[in-house]
Amino acid sequence: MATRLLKRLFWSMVTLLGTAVLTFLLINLVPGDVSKVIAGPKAGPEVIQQIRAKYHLDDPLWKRLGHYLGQLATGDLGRSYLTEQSVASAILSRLPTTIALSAMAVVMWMVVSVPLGVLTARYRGSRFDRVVLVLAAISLSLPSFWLARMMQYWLSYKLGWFPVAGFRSFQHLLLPSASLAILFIGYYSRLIHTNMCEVLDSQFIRCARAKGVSEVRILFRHALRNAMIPVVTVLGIDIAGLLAGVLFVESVFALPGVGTLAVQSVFNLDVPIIMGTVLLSAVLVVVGNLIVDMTYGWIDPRMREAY
Amino acid sequence: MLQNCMIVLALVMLWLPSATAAVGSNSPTEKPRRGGTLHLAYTLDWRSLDPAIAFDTESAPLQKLLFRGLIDFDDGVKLVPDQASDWNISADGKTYTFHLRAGVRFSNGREVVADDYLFSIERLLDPKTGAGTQTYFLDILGAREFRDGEAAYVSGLKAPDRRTFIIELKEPKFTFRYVLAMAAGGVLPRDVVKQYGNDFQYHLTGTGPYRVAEWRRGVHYRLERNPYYSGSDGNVDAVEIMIGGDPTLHAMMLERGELDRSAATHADVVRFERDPLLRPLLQYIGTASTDYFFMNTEIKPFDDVRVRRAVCHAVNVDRLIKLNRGFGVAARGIVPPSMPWSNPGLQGYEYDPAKARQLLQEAGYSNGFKTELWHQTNSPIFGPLAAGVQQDLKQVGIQAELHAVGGEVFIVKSGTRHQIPCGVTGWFEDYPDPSDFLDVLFSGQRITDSDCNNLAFYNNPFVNGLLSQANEVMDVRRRTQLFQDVEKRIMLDAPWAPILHEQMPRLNSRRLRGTGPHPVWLWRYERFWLTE
Amino acid sequence: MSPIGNTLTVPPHDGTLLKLLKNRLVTAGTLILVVLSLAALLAPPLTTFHVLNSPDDQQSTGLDDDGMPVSPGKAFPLGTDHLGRDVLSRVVYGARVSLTIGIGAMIVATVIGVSVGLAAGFYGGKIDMGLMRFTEMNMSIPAILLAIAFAGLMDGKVLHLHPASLPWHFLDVRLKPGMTSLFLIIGLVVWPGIVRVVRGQVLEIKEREFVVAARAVGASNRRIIVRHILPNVLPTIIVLAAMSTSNTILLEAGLGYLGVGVPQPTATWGSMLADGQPYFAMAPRLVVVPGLAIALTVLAFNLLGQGLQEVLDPRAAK
Repeated sequence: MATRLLKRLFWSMVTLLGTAVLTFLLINLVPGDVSKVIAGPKAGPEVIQQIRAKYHLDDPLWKRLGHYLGQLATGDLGRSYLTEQSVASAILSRLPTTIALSAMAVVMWMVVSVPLGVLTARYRGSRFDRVVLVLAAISLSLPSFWLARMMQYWLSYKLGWFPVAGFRSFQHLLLPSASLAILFIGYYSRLIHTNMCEVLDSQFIRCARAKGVSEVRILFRHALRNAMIPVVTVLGIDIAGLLAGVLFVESVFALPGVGTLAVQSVFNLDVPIIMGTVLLSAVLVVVGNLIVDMTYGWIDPRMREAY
Repeated sequence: MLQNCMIVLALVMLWLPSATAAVGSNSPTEKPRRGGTLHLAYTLDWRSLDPAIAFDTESAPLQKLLFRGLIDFDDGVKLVPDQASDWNISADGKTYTFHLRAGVRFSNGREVVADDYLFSIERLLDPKTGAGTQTYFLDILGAREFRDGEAAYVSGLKAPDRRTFIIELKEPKFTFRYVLAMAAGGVLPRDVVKQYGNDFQYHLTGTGPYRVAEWRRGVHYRLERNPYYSGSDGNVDAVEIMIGGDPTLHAMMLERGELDRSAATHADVVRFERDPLLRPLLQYIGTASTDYFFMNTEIKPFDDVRVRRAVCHAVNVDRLIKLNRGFGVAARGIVPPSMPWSNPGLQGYEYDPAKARQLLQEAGYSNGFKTELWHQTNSPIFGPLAAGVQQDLKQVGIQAELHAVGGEVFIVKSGTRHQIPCGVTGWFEDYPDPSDFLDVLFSGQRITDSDCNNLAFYNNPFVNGLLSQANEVMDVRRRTQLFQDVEKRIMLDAPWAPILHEQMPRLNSRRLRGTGPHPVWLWRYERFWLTE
Repeated sequence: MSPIGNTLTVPPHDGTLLKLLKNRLVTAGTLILVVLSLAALLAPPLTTFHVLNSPDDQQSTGLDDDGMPVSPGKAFPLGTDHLGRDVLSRVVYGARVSLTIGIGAMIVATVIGVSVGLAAGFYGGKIDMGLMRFTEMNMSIPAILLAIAFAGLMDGKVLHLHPASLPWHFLDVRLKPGMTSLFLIIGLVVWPGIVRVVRGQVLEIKEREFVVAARAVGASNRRIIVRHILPNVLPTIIVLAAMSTSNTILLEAGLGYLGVGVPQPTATWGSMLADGQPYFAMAPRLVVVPGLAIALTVLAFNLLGQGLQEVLDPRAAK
């Protein structure tokens, strides 16, 4: 078990390194001149030359990659080309916003999805179940930026129930996280429903019923607990992938999070920041996958052979 | 100055005359209230607020909150001592002597000494600083030598005692005084800058009415009163600046009371104009500029004055103003009305398509003609203006094909002889003298085969004569008369159809006062105040 | 599948309920798609016969005196946009872009995803390890960032696929921003999600008796994959394909919204939505209409996917 974990960890590190190299090469293939972005539209050629020299932009690609990886090995993520802020502090100053937003969204969608999933499983085939099914399909189909804009316009701007944009208090996060949660409720309520149905059909629930255990206790104590195991692994992957998911919501509500930082840096070709945000997301995804794979291994020994 | 130079507007605007200075609060009867927090929003983070580095329109009003220098503009363009108690310029115009006010302190509590001024200018000249404003300080004696590493210090800068600072110029230069009033002339503490080096931008320390309380790059900034500031500026207690969101979002936030000031898009200008409840929140800030349609008088058929006059009658300026509502006022002449010596009596050409068609017929173009209309893409306003002019010309039978190109290409193409028949562009004033428009843009003696600013390649010997006469006359009234005659004569020859003088629309919250525009800084945040 | 992000896990399948609804789900999805496809196909002839206005041209009465879009009326059933273009015809033409790129990208993603998943699952060992690490690397880069970066790559760059010493210029690929480039980009971003599911299925199937039996009689690997494994994975692939189309369409819309999709003036729903935002307070329809169009199309593929899963997925059938 321990060697398997060690082996897996080793390969995770390889994946991270590969991601770093892949991203660095890709970003540097993008045509466009970051020195012009830094210098601004009015800068003369000598200013641009100074900037190119400062960031070694005229070095061959492999040399720059080597330089970057060497720097990375010492734990230094570098500094933004544009603001000269250190990448670590740029990300850290925005991470709390993204984490708070994601956490609120996760809580919101689970609070709604769990009862919906349980009740639709209990009343399988009822009108209620059918309505939830259709609503779930709709929620899966909404473009996140559109939903966020619509909610912002009607609920904040027109009705004044929430602040329009910005991040000054936790109240400012209510609507953004709700708009994010709605997109996931459809998926999770069906996921929980499916797993609940399987558990409810199983032998041990029938046993419990025969013993005369109360219905509420059966649903929420025995069945839900078993049905949630696969749900939690999926949740792990989704939380790891949320960094990309919050990007549109952050930009609609002008929240200073990691998502907006990442998008801006790609448009500005601010390579150190792009690398920093991609590596952050990669670490999350790799760790998420690691946890899922390890738990899969415990559940189904056949899956182990891959590692 | 060509229109795509908004970034250096703060400098360009230095030469603005006092005519635009409709100064004061929105309603002059109210007395400014002190207190409250001013909420601002910027779409993008600025590169730096270090006075040596940033010198664009957006940064300047913010920099004035944190940094102050020896002299400043009053509510108009008159220079007054700020942190100097008095100053004088020697009779030969080469030596500037400043006496510093006693008790001026940096926001960290240390007293300002003359050496700090010496250091601040040296730092600007040091190539390692990368100061964009460096060139303006090269008139100081020994500045070039210091910059090029040939001298260890700037020989023209002296601090004989703690309160006296002397600048010596290589040769007399009238405009140098304006350079000192720029944000770049703000004083920095030698010890703090030395301590932080390149990280000074995270530890900004100056003598302005405010100091940095929170500095989170790309996220938000908070300024609060500088407890060591002894001047009278600064009405609000704190300034909160949010980074992110576009002007559309900022306008929505402003309507819901989450922001106090915002830029406005064309859509929001129209929306605020149409709603009587929102109309009072809208403010236009004028600039000394002219956007125009030019016709190359050397290219057929625009060599015929009847054709050019026909075009002037065909262009519906009032419609174009409405289509770009909020971004300009109708131009009846060439020189912006905010300039001294402008020609308030000028009426321009009346919109009269019938007359235009008749003139075209007289010139032998009863079926109209085909031409190319060029404009640059790097301005939000030239595109819509070009499309509008194209439609107007179509009404009188002129088929103009639009050619949109980048700024650089446009400058090269339009400044080269026999290249572009007609197009839309603009001119921003460099200095408050009508010669900046009439001589620079219309003198036949200035026509060159390339890099020409006279885009119409207009050459009228009579006008050329008047211009050289006007340039020599020093008597203001006579000079005015001559330039006004020149402008009238040029309008008669119609090498241009002037369209509009640009302005910047801004939205103010209901509680915001004191937003009166400033001719140099456009607005001064330290004069803003809140009713609640 | 998740609504956003590039994770794609086994879609949940409903037991009895979906059996009742299955026909309705498939029918509803198919119906919406048929209408959309018809609109997309008929748009150019409708324009030729002046039933529909041209989508890219400013209409002469398309802007009011203040240069603002015109409200819905007789001439323009859905009004005009900020440049005085007919919103209705832009929405209809937008369907062409959305469906072409969505389906094209789905094909690209499915081909890559299925090949990698098959190889990894079937051969196992080092190949599996290498392929899965590579997939994970691709999954670690947020899809949308990858797509933006790729979209930048497409800026008229020429890729020289021949050795520098040989003048085989016919191998040069000129990348231009446009539909083909975009569905390649999106396809390249979406495929990793398919790999995991396909690999899992292959792992399961290759242990079944009939595969073991085929192997025992000496069938070649190729024959086993083509004759035995592929047919058994096919139902899953079809379901995955339908579901990933909703992903690719959302991604295309997102790129258009960020301004890196099919370049102007081509009508795409994402860019229409972005262009309409400054006019939201004045004309909400400019944002509402393209958003509804995106949602409806994605919904159609989601319904189809769910329905197909019920009908085709062998595990659901047991």
